[in-house]
Amino acid sequence: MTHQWSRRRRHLLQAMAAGTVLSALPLSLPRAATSPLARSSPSGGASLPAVGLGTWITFNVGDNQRLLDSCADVMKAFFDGGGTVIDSSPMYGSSQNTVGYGLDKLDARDKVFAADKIWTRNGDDTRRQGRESAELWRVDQFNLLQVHNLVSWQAHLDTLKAMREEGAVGSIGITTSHGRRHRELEQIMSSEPIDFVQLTYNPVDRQAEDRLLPLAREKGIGVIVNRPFRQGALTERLANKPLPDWASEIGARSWAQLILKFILAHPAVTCAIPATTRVDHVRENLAAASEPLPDSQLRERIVDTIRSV
Amino acid sequence: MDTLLSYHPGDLLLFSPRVYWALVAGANERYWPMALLSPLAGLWLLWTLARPHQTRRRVSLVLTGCAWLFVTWSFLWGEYRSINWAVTWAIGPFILQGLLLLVLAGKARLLSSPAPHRHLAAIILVAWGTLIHPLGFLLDDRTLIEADSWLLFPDPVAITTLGIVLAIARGPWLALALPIPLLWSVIGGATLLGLGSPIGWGMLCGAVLAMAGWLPLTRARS
Repeated sequence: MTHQWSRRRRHLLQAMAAGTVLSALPLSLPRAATSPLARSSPSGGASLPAVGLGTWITFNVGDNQRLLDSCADVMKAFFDGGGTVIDSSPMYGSSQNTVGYGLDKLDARDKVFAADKIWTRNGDDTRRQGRESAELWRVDQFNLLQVHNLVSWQAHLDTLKAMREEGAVGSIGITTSHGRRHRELEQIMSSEPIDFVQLTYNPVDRQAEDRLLPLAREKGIGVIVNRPFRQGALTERLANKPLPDWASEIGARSWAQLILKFILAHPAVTCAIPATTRVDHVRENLAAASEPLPDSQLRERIVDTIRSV
Repeated sequence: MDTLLSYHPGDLLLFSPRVYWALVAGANERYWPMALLSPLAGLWLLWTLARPHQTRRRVSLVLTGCAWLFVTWSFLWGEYRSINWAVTWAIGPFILQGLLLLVLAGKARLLSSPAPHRHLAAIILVAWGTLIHPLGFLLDDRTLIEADSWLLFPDPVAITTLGIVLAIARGPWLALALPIPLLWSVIGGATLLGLGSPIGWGMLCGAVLAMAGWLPLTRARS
Protein backbone atom coordinates (compact mmCIF):
# COMPACT_ATOMS: atom_id res chain seq x y z
CA MET A 1 0.00 0.00 0.00
CA THR A 2 1.39 3.32 -0.97
CA HIS A 3 2.43 5.78 1.69
CA GLN A 4 1.71 8.70 -0.54
CA TRP A 5 -1.46 9.81 1.06
CA SER A 6 -3.56 12.21 -0.86
CA ARG A 7 -2.97 15.86 -0.37
CA ARG A 8 -6.68 16.18 -0.66
CA ARG A 9 -6.85 14.88 2.91
CA ARG A 10 -7.43 18.29 4.43
CA HIS A 11 -10.03 19.04 1.81
CA LEU A 12 -11.76 15.75 2.43
CA LEU A 13 -11.68 16.21 6.17
CA GLN A 14 -13.41 19.50 5.77
CA ALA A 15 -15.94 17.90 3.51
CA MET A 16 -16.52 15.14 6.02
CA ALA A 17 -16.91 17.66 8.77
CA ALA A 18 -19.69 19.11 6.73
CA GLY A 19 -21.26 15.72 6.77
CA THR A 20 -21.08 15.16 3.08
CA VAL A 21 -19.01 12.02 2.87
CA LEU A 22 -19.24 9.32 5.51
CA SER A 23 -22.72 10.14 6.63
CA ALA A 24 -23.97 10.35 3.07
CA LEU A 25 -22.30 7.23 1.73
CA PRO A 26 -23.71 3.77 2.24
CA LEU A 27 -21.90 1.99 5.05
CA SER A 28 -20.15 -0.40 2.78
CA LEU A 29 -18.56 -0.06 -0.56
CA PRO A 30 -19.38 -2.77 -3.07
CA ARG A 31 -16.61 -5.36 -3.18
CA ALA A 32 -16.12 -8.79 -4.58
CA ALA A 33 -17.83 -11.51 -2.57
CA THR A 34 -14.52 -12.75 -1.18
CA SER A 35 -13.27 -9.35 -0.03
CA PRO A 36 -14.17 -7.96 3.35
CA LEU A 37 -16.48 -5.01 3.51
CA ALA A 38 -14.51 -1.77 3.28
CA ARG A 39 -14.93 1.72 4.67
CA SER A 40 -13.62 5.00 3.38
CA SER A 41 -10.66 6.21 5.37
CA PRO A 42 -10.80 9.86 6.40
CA SER A 43 -7.49 10.40 4.65
CA GLY A 44 -9.23 9.88 1.41
CA GLY A 45 -6.63 7.85 -0.43
CA ALA A 46 -7.94 4.39 0.19
CA SER A 47 -10.78 2.42 1.59
CA LEU A 48 -9.93 0.18 4.50
CA PRO A 49 -11.24 -3.35 5.05
CA ALA A 50 -13.52 -3.15 8.07
CA VAL A 51 -11.70 -5.91 9.94
CA GLY A 52 -8.05 -5.46 10.79
CA LEU A 53 -5.55 -7.34 12.92
CA GLY A 54 -4.54 -6.35 16.44
CA THR A 55 -1.26 -7.56 17.92
CA TRP A 56 -1.66 -6.95 21.68
CA ILE A 57 -0.35 -10.06 23.50
CA THR A 58 -0.89 -12.39 20.54
CA PHE A 59 2.17 -11.21 18.58
CA ASN A 60 4.45 -10.75 21.61
CA VAL A 61 6.32 -14.00 21.07
CA GLY A 62 9.93 -12.94 21.59
CA ASP A 63 12.51 -14.77 19.51
CA ASN A 64 10.72 -18.11 19.45
CA GLN A 65 11.04 -19.20 15.82
CA ARG A 66 8.06 -21.54 15.89
CA LEU A 67 5.79 -18.83 17.29
CA LEU A 68 7.17 -16.20 14.88
CA ASP A 69 6.28 -18.49 11.99
CA SER A 70 2.88 -19.15 13.51
CA CYS A 71 2.21 -15.39 13.59
CA ALA A 72 3.40 -15.10 9.98
CA ASP A 73 0.83 -17.78 9.08
CA VAL A 74 -1.86 -15.66 10.74
CA MET A 75 -0.71 -12.63 8.73
CA LYS A 76 -0.73 -14.66 5.51
CA ALA A 77 -4.32 -15.73 6.11
CA PHE A 78 -5.16 -12.13 6.93
CA PHE A 79 -3.70 -10.75 3.70
CA ASP A 80 -5.09 -13.63 1.64
CA GLY A 81 -8.53 -12.80 3.03
CA GLY A 82 -8.26 -9.18 1.94
CA GLY A 83 -7.20 -7.65 5.27
CA THR A 84 -4.79 -4.75 5.32
CA VAL A 85 -4.90 -2.89 8.67
CA ILE A 86 -2.41 -4.18 11.24
CA ASP A 87 -2.06 -2.27 14.49
CA SER A 88 0.75 -2.44 17.02
CA SER A 89 2.63 -0.36 19.58
CA PRO A 90 6.05 -0.07 21.23
CA MET A 91 4.24 -1.07 24.39
CA TYR A 92 3.41 -4.52 23.02
CA GLY A 93 6.73 -6.22 23.80
CA SER A 94 8.13 -7.89 20.69
CA SER A 95 4.92 -7.51 18.63
CA GLN A 96 6.34 -4.89 16.28
CA ASN A 97 9.28 -7.13 15.44
CA THR A 98 6.91 -10.05 14.89
CA VAL A 99 4.90 -8.00 12.40
CA GLY A 100 8.15 -6.99 10.69
CA TYR A 101 9.21 -10.63 10.52
CA GLY A 102 5.89 -11.55 8.93
CA LEU A 103 6.01 -8.71 6.40
CA ASP A 104 9.53 -9.75 5.44
CA LYS A 105 8.70 -13.42 5.17
CA LEU A 106 5.52 -12.81 3.18
CA ASP A 107 6.98 -9.94 1.16
CA ALA A 108 3.80 -8.09 2.05
CA ARG A 109 4.86 -4.51 2.63
CA ASP A 110 2.66 -3.37 -0.24
CA LYS A 111 -0.37 -5.09 1.28
CA VAL A 112 -0.33 -3.65 4.77
CA PHE A 113 -1.90 -0.52 6.17
CA ALA A 114 0.69 -0.06 8.90
CA ALA A 115 -0.80 1.45 12.04
CA ASP A 116 1.43 1.98 15.04
CA LYS A 117 1.62 4.16 18.12
CA ILE A 118 3.84 6.60 19.94
CA TRP A 119 4.19 5.51 23.54
CA THR A 120 6.67 7.54 25.52
CA ARG A 121 6.35 10.20 28.19
CA ASN A 122 9.11 12.19 26.55
CA GLY A 123 7.32 14.57 24.23
CA ASP A 124 10.54 15.18 22.28
CA ASP A 125 10.89 11.52 21.38
CA THR A 126 8.08 11.23 18.82
CA ARG A 127 10.20 11.06 15.71
CA ARG A 128 12.88 8.85 17.24
CA GLN A 129 10.37 6.31 18.48
CA GLY A 130 8.51 6.40 15.19
CA ARG A 131 11.76 5.65 13.34
CA GLU A 132 12.64 2.80 15.71
CA SER A 133 9.19 1.31 15.32
CA ALA A 134 9.40 1.55 11.52
CA GLU A 135 12.71 -0.32 11.66
CA LEU A 136 11.10 -3.09 13.69
CA TRP A 137 8.20 -3.25 11.24
CA ARG A 138 10.69 -3.17 8.31
CA VAL A 139 8.66 -0.42 6.62
CA ASP A 140 9.77 2.98 5.38
CA GLN A 141 7.03 4.81 7.22
CA PHE A 142 3.63 4.29 8.74
CA ASN A 143 0.24 4.81 7.21
CA LEU A 144 -1.05 5.79 10.62
CA LEU A 145 0.67 6.88 13.83
CA GLN A 146 -1.41 7.28 16.95
CA VAL A 147 -0.65 8.66 20.39
CA HIS A 148 -0.97 5.63 22.65
CA ASN A 149 -3.39 6.01 25.55
CA LEU A 150 -3.10 9.81 25.47
CA VAL A 151 0.45 9.64 26.87
CA SER A 152 2.00 13.14 26.56
CA TRP A 153 -0.48 13.71 23.78
CA GLN A 154 -0.05 17.47 23.32
CA ALA A 155 3.63 17.26 22.48
CA HIS A 156 3.30 14.12 20.37
CA LEU A 157 0.35 15.45 18.40
CA ASP A 158 2.22 18.64 17.55
CA THR A 159 5.06 16.57 16.10
CA LEU A 160 2.72 14.15 14.36
CA LYS A 161 0.86 17.02 12.73
CA ALA A 162 4.17 18.32 11.40
CA MET A 163 5.13 14.85 10.20
CA ARG A 164 1.82 14.55 8.38
CA GLU A 165 2.40 17.86 6.66
CA GLU A 166 5.88 16.68 5.62
CA GLY A 167 4.44 13.43 4.28
CA ALA A 168 6.40 11.42 6.85
CA VAL A 169 3.21 9.69 7.98
CA GLY A 170 -0.09 9.17 6.23
CA SER A 171 -2.56 9.80 9.03
CA ILE A 172 -2.45 10.58 12.71
CA GLY A 173 -4.67 9.68 15.61
CA ILE A 174 -5.02 9.01 19.29
CA THR A 175 -5.99 5.92 21.23
CA THR A 176 -7.56 4.79 24.45
CA SER A 177 -9.03 1.51 25.65
CA HIS A 178 -11.26 0.04 28.32
CA GLY A 179 -13.44 3.16 28.22
CA ARG A 180 -10.77 5.25 29.93
CA ARG A 181 -10.42 9.06 29.69
CA HIS A 182 -13.29 9.53 27.28
CA ARG A 183 -13.91 13.10 28.39
CA GLU A 184 -10.34 14.10 27.55
CA LEU A 185 -10.52 12.19 24.29
CA GLU A 186 -13.67 14.05 23.38
CA GLN A 187 -11.90 17.36 23.91
CA ILE A 188 -9.04 16.27 21.67
CA MET A 189 -11.41 15.08 18.96
CA SER A 190 -13.19 18.42 19.12
CA SER A 191 -10.11 20.59 19.00
CA GLU A 192 -7.38 18.69 17.13
CA PRO A 193 -7.25 17.81 13.43
CA ILE A 194 -6.78 14.08 13.88
CA ASP A 195 -7.67 11.49 11.26
CA PHE A 196 -8.37 8.49 13.49
CA VAL A 197 -9.39 7.69 17.00
CA GLN A 198 -9.00 4.22 18.51
CA LEU A 199 -11.25 3.11 21.34
CA THR A 200 -12.96 0.13 22.90
CA TYR A 201 -16.42 -0.70 21.66
CA ASN A 202 -18.45 -3.92 21.73
CA PRO A 203 -21.92 -5.04 22.85
CA VAL A 204 -21.01 -4.75 26.53
CA ASP A 205 -18.69 -1.73 26.38
CA ARG A 206 -20.91 0.90 24.80
CA GLN A 207 -19.81 4.13 26.50
CA ALA A 208 -18.41 5.38 23.19
CA GLU A 209 -21.93 5.47 21.74
CA ASP A 210 -22.91 8.40 23.94
CA ARG A 211 -20.59 11.07 22.64
CA LEU A 212 -17.42 9.80 20.96
CA LEU A 213 -18.90 7.89 18.04
CA PRO A 214 -21.39 10.64 17.12
CA LEU A 215 -18.57 13.18 17.40
CA ALA A 216 -16.34 11.06 15.16
CA ARG A 217 -19.05 11.05 12.51
CA GLU A 218 -19.59 14.75 12.82
CA LYS A 219 -15.88 15.55 12.52
CA GLY A 220 -15.09 12.95 9.88
CA ILE A 221 -12.69 11.09 12.17
CA GLY A 222 -12.11 7.43 11.42
CA VAL A 223 -12.79 5.03 14.29
CA ILE A 224 -10.69 1.94 14.95
CA VAL A 225 -12.24 -0.37 17.51
CA ASN A 226 -9.97 -2.28 19.88
CA ARG A 227 -10.89 -5.05 22.32
CA PRO A 228 -13.93 -6.16 20.28
CA PHE A 229 -14.00 -9.39 22.28
CA ARG A 230 -12.67 -7.93 25.52
CA GLN A 231 -9.36 -9.69 24.90
CA GLY A 232 -11.19 -12.96 24.32
CA ALA A 233 -13.11 -12.89 27.60
CA LEU A 234 -16.38 -12.19 25.83
CA THR A 235 -16.13 -14.99 23.29
CA GLU A 236 -14.86 -17.38 25.99
CA ARG A 237 -17.90 -16.61 28.12
CA LEU A 238 -20.19 -17.30 25.18
CA ALA A 239 -18.28 -20.29 23.84
CA ASN A 240 -20.58 -22.99 25.14
CA LYS A 241 -23.81 -21.11 24.60
CA PRO A 242 -25.84 -21.84 21.48
CA LEU A 243 -25.84 -19.09 18.89
CA PRO A 244 -29.39 -17.70 18.51
CA ASP A 245 -31.24 -18.83 15.38
CA TRP A 246 -31.74 -15.26 14.25
CA ALA A 247 -27.96 -14.80 13.94
CA SER A 248 -28.19 -16.53 10.57
CA GLU A 249 -30.38 -13.66 9.30
CA ILE A 250 -27.23 -11.55 9.13
CA GLY A 251 -24.94 -14.39 8.14
CA ALA A 252 -23.26 -14.74 11.54
CA ARG A 253 -22.04 -18.26 12.12
CA SER A 254 -20.35 -17.67 15.46
CA TRP A 255 -20.52 -15.38 18.48
CA ALA A 256 -17.35 -13.65 17.26
CA GLN A 257 -19.00 -12.82 13.94
CA LEU A 258 -22.15 -11.63 15.68
CA ILE A 259 -20.11 -9.28 17.88
CA LEU A 260 -18.08 -7.97 14.95
CA LYS A 261 -21.21 -7.38 12.91
CA PHE A 262 -22.69 -5.47 15.84
CA ILE A 263 -19.59 -3.24 15.93
CA LEU A 264 -19.31 -2.72 12.19
CA ALA A 265 -23.00 -1.84 11.93
CA HIS A 266 -22.34 1.40 13.79
CA PRO A 267 -22.03 4.04 11.08
CA ALA A 268 -19.07 5.76 12.76
CA VAL A 269 -16.86 2.66 12.87
CA THR A 270 -14.13 2.37 10.25
CA CYS A 271 -12.70 -0.95 11.33
CA ALA A 272 -12.33 -3.34 14.24
CA ILE A 273 -8.95 -4.91 15.08
CA PRO A 274 -9.42 -8.25 16.83
CA ALA A 275 -6.17 -9.97 17.79
CA THR A 276 -5.73 -13.68 17.38
CA THR A 277 -3.13 -16.42 17.20
CA ARG A 278 -5.27 -18.65 14.99
CA VAL A 279 -5.60 -18.78 11.24
CA ASP A 280 -9.19 -20.04 11.40
CA HIS A 281 -10.12 -17.13 13.64
CA VAL A 282 -8.60 -14.63 11.21
CA ARG A 283 -10.74 -16.06 8.42
CA GLU A 284 -13.80 -16.08 10.65
CA ASN A 285 -13.22 -12.44 11.63
CA LEU A 286 -12.71 -11.28 8.06
CA ALA A 287 -15.85 -13.10 6.98
CA ALA A 288 -17.83 -11.05 9.50
CA ALA A 289 -17.04 -7.94 7.50
CA SER A 290 -19.84 -8.57 5.05
CA GLU A 291 -23.41 -7.60 4.37
CA PRO A 292 -25.94 -7.89 5.80
CA LEU A 293 -25.22 -6.03 9.00
CA PRO A 294 -27.75 -5.79 11.81
CA ASP A 295 -30.19 -2.88 11.89
CA SER A 296 -30.71 -0.94 15.11
CA GLN A 297 -33.41 -3.29 16.35
CA LEU A 298 -31.27 -6.35 15.82
CA ARG A 299 -28.28 -4.62 17.41
CA GLU A 300 -30.29 -4.14 20.59
CA ARG A 301 -31.28 -7.78 20.44
CA ILE A 302 -27.61 -8.76 20.20
CA VAL A 303 -26.83 -6.63 23.26
CA ASP A 304 -29.72 -8.07 25.27
CA THR A 305 -28.82 -11.63 24.34
CA ILE A 306 -25.13 -11.29 25.18
CA ARG A 307 -25.83 -9.51 28.45
CA SER A 308 -28.30 -12.19 29.50
CA VAL A 309 -25.84 -15.04 28.92
CA MET B 1 -7.13 8.00 40.10
CA ASP B 2 -10.29 6.60 38.51
CA THR B 3 -8.22 5.58 35.51
CA LEU B 4 -5.64 3.87 37.73
CA LEU B 5 -8.35 2.01 39.62
CA SER B 6 -9.85 0.76 36.38
CA TYR B 7 -6.81 -1.46 35.78
CA HIS B 8 -6.71 -5.00 37.08
CA PRO B 9 -3.64 -7.24 37.23
CA GLY B 10 -4.51 -9.02 34.00
CA ASP B 11 -4.32 -5.71 32.09
CA LEU B 12 -0.63 -5.46 32.99
CA LEU B 13 0.32 -8.75 31.35
CA LEU B 14 1.91 -8.23 27.95
CA PHE B 15 2.20 -11.87 26.98
CA SER B 16 0.23 -15.09 26.89
CA PRO B 17 0.79 -18.27 28.90
CA ARG B 18 1.87 -20.19 25.78
CA VAL B 19 4.66 -17.70 25.12
CA TYR B 20 5.89 -17.54 28.74
CA TRP B 21 5.99 -21.31 29.15
CA ALA B 22 7.66 -21.64 25.74
CA LEU B 23 10.44 -19.43 27.14
CA VAL B 24 10.68 -21.69 30.18
CA ALA B 25 10.84 -24.79 27.99
CA GLY B 26 13.54 -23.17 25.86
CA ALA B 27 15.65 -22.31 28.91
CA ASN B 28 15.26 -25.84 30.31
CA GLU B 29 16.52 -27.29 27.04
CA ARG B 30 19.35 -24.80 26.70
CA TYR B 31 20.72 -25.34 30.20
CA TRP B 32 20.03 -29.04 30.57
CA PRO B 33 20.69 -30.77 33.00
CA MET B 34 20.28 -27.81 35.38
CA ALA B 35 16.57 -28.62 35.71
CA LEU B 36 17.53 -32.07 36.95
CA LEU B 37 20.16 -30.74 39.36
CA SER B 38 17.77 -28.19 40.87
CA PRO B 39 15.74 -30.55 43.09
CA LEU B 40 18.96 -32.31 44.18
CA ALA B 41 20.43 -28.96 45.18
CA GLY B 42 17.16 -28.25 46.98
CA LEU B 43 17.45 -31.45 48.98
CA TRP B 44 20.97 -30.45 49.93
CA LEU B 45 19.70 -27.04 51.12
CA LEU B 46 17.06 -28.74 53.26
CA TRP B 47 19.70 -31.00 54.80
CA THR B 48 21.81 -27.92 55.53
CA LEU B 49 18.90 -26.26 57.29
CA ALA B 50 18.11 -29.39 59.27
CA ARG B 51 21.74 -29.94 60.34
CA PRO B 52 23.19 -26.46 60.94
CA HIS B 53 26.85 -26.17 60.05
CA GLN B 54 28.62 -22.84 59.49
CA THR B 55 30.49 -23.83 56.32
CA ARG B 56 27.53 -25.55 54.72
CA ARG B 57 25.39 -22.50 55.53
CA ARG B 58 27.86 -20.20 53.85
CA VAL B 59 27.99 -22.52 50.82
CA SER B 60 24.19 -22.48 50.64
CA LEU B 61 24.31 -18.67 50.55
CA VAL B 62 26.92 -18.78 47.77
CA LEU B 63 24.79 -21.24 45.80
CA THR B 64 21.68 -19.09 46.20
CA GLY B 65 23.55 -15.89 45.33
CA CYS B 66 24.96 -17.51 42.20
CA ALA B 67 21.47 -18.70 41.29
CA TRP B 68 20.23 -15.08 41.37
CA LEU B 69 23.06 -13.94 39.12
CA PHE B 70 22.61 -16.84 36.72
CA VAL B 71 18.83 -16.32 36.52
CA THR B 72 19.44 -12.63 35.80
CA TRP B 73 21.79 -13.39 32.92
CA SER B 74 20.19 -16.49 31.45
CA PHE B 75 16.48 -15.86 31.88
CA LEU B 76 15.69 -12.24 32.71
CA TRP B 77 18.19 -10.74 30.27
CA GLY B 78 18.43 -13.60 27.81
CA GLU B 79 14.79 -14.59 27.46
CA TYR B 80 12.13 -12.81 29.49
CA ARG B 81 13.15 -9.29 28.51
CA SER B 82 12.14 -9.98 24.89
CA ILE B 83 8.47 -10.28 25.80
CA ASN B 84 8.31 -8.08 28.90
CA TRP B 85 10.05 -4.71 28.79
CA ALA B 86 9.25 -4.18 32.49
CA VAL B 87 11.76 -6.92 33.34
CA THR B 88 14.53 -4.46 32.54
CA TRP B 89 13.67 -2.75 35.82
CA ALA B 90 14.27 -6.01 37.70
CA ILE B 91 17.79 -6.60 36.35
CA GLY B 92 19.48 -4.24 38.85
CA PRO B 93 17.65 -5.54 41.95
CA PHE B 94 18.34 -9.15 40.91
CA ILE B 95 22.08 -8.50 40.55
CA LEU B 96 22.05 -6.63 43.86
CA GLN B 97 20.33 -9.56 45.56
CA GLY B 98 22.88 -12.01 44.18
CA LEU B 99 25.78 -9.87 45.36
CA LEU B 100 24.16 -9.34 48.77
CA LEU B 101 23.94 -13.07 49.32
CA LEU B 102 27.58 -13.54 48.30
CA VAL B 103 28.70 -10.79 50.68
CA LEU B 104 26.52 -12.27 53.40
CA ALA B 105 28.20 -15.64 52.82
CA GLY B 106 31.65 -14.15 53.14
CA LYS B 107 31.37 -11.44 55.75
CA ALA B 108 28.40 -11.66 58.02
CA ARG B 109 27.95 -13.38 61.33
CA LEU B 110 25.28 -16.01 60.76
CA LEU B 111 22.55 -17.35 62.97
CA SER B 112 23.55 -20.66 64.47
CA SER B 113 20.01 -21.55 65.38
CA PRO B 114 16.96 -19.52 64.33
CA ALA B 115 13.85 -19.24 66.50
CA PRO B 116 11.62 -22.30 66.07
CA HIS B 117 8.86 -20.51 64.18
CA ARG B 118 11.41 -18.94 61.83
CA HIS B 119 13.18 -22.26 61.34
CA LEU B 120 9.92 -23.97 60.43
CA ALA B 121 8.96 -21.19 58.04
CA ALA B 122 12.42 -21.41 56.43
CA ILE B 123 12.16 -25.16 55.85
CA ILE B 124 8.68 -24.84 54.36
CA LEU B 125 9.82 -22.05 52.04
CA VAL B 126 12.91 -23.89 50.82
CA ALA B 127 10.93 -27.10 50.31
CA TRP B 128 8.28 -25.11 48.45
CA GLY B 129 10.72 -23.26 46.23
CA THR B 130 12.92 -26.20 45.33
CA LEU B 131 10.57 -29.18 45.30
CA ILE B 132 6.90 -28.12 45.24
CA HIS B 133 6.83 -25.03 43.02
CA PRO B 134 8.24 -26.84 39.95
CA LEU B 135 5.37 -29.32 40.24
CA GLY B 136 3.00 -26.46 39.43
CA PHE B 137 3.08 -27.69 35.82
CA LEU B 138 0.71 -30.45 36.99
CA LEU B 139 -1.95 -27.88 37.91
CA ASP B 140 -2.26 -26.23 34.50
CA ASP B 141 -1.83 -27.21 30.89
CA ARG B 142 1.94 -27.54 30.96
CA THR B 143 4.33 -30.39 30.27
CA LEU B 144 7.38 -31.40 32.31
CA ILE B 145 9.73 -29.43 30.06
CA GLU B 146 7.76 -26.30 31.02
CA ALA B 147 8.40 -26.79 34.75
CA ASP B 148 10.28 -23.90 36.38
CA SER B 149 13.00 -24.94 38.82
CA TRP B 150 14.86 -22.77 41.28
CA LEU B 151 18.33 -22.72 39.73
CA LEU B 152 16.93 -21.43 36.44
CA PHE B 153 13.90 -19.25 37.06
CA PRO B 154 13.12 -16.17 39.14
CA ASP B 155 9.93 -17.28 40.90
CA PRO B 156 11.22 -20.39 42.69
CA VAL B 157 14.62 -18.82 43.41
CA ALA B 158 12.81 -15.97 45.19
CA ILE B 159 10.79 -18.33 47.39
CA THR B 160 13.83 -20.49 48.13
CA THR B 161 15.85 -17.42 49.05
CA LEU B 162 13.23 -16.28 51.53
CA GLY B 163 13.74 -19.53 53.39
CA ILE B 164 17.54 -19.46 53.24
CA VAL B 165 17.75 -15.86 54.44
CA LEU B 166 15.25 -16.43 57.26
CA ALA B 167 17.23 -19.40 58.50
CA ILE B 168 20.69 -17.92 58.21
CA ALA B 169 20.75 -14.11 58.22
CA ARG B 170 20.51 -12.01 61.33
CA GLY B 171 19.98 -8.39 62.31
CA PRO B 172 20.36 -5.82 59.53
CA TRP B 173 21.36 -8.50 57.00
CA LEU B 174 17.89 -9.94 57.32
CA ALA B 175 16.36 -6.57 56.57
CA LEU B 176 18.68 -6.14 53.59
CA ALA B 177 18.31 -9.58 52.04
CA LEU B 178 14.55 -10.15 52.39
CA PRO B 179 12.85 -7.23 50.56
CA ILE B 180 13.83 -8.09 46.97
CA PRO B 181 12.76 -11.75 47.09
CA LEU B 182 9.65 -10.69 49.01
CA LEU B 183 8.73 -8.15 46.34
CA TRP B 184 9.43 -10.59 43.53
CA SER B 185 7.30 -13.24 45.25
CA VAL B 186 4.37 -10.85 45.06
CA ILE B 187 5.10 -9.78 41.47
CA GLY B 188 5.80 -13.33 40.33
CA GLY B 189 2.77 -14.73 42.13
CA ALA B 190 0.48 -12.13 40.58
CA THR B 191 2.00 -12.81 37.16
CA LEU B 192 1.47 -16.56 37.48
CA LEU B 193 -2.13 -16.02 38.54
CA GLY B 194 -2.57 -13.69 35.57
CA LEU B 195 -1.26 -16.50 33.38
CA GLY B 196 -3.86 -18.82 34.87
CA SER B 197 -1.37 -20.83 36.92
CA PRO B 198 -2.72 -21.53 40.43
CA ILE B 199 0.82 -22.11 41.74
CA GLY B 200 0.94 -18.31 41.92
CA TRP B 201 -1.02 -18.60 45.15
CA GLY B 202 1.93 -20.52 46.57
CA MET B 203 4.20 -17.56 45.87
CA LEU B 204 1.86 -15.12 47.55
CA CYS B 205 1.47 -17.43 50.56
CA GLY B 206 5.26 -17.78 50.62
CA ALA B 207 5.60 -14.01 50.93
CA VAL B 208 3.13 -13.97 53.81
CA LEU B 209 4.90 -16.87 55.50
CA ALA B 210 8.25 -15.12 55.17
CA MET B 211 6.80 -11.98 56.74
CA ALA B 212 5.45 -14.08 59.60
CA GLY B 213 8.82 -15.78 60.01
CA TRP B 214 10.50 -12.38 60.12
CA LEU B 215 8.46 -11.34 63.17
CA PRO B 216 10.49 -11.62 66.38
CA LEU B 217 8.08 -13.96 68.16
CA THR B 218 10.89 -15.67 70.03
CA ARG B 219 14.56 -14.89 70.44
CA ALA B 220 17.05 -16.60 68.21
CA ARG B 221 20.49 -17.71 69.39
CA SER B 222 23.33 -16.02 67.57
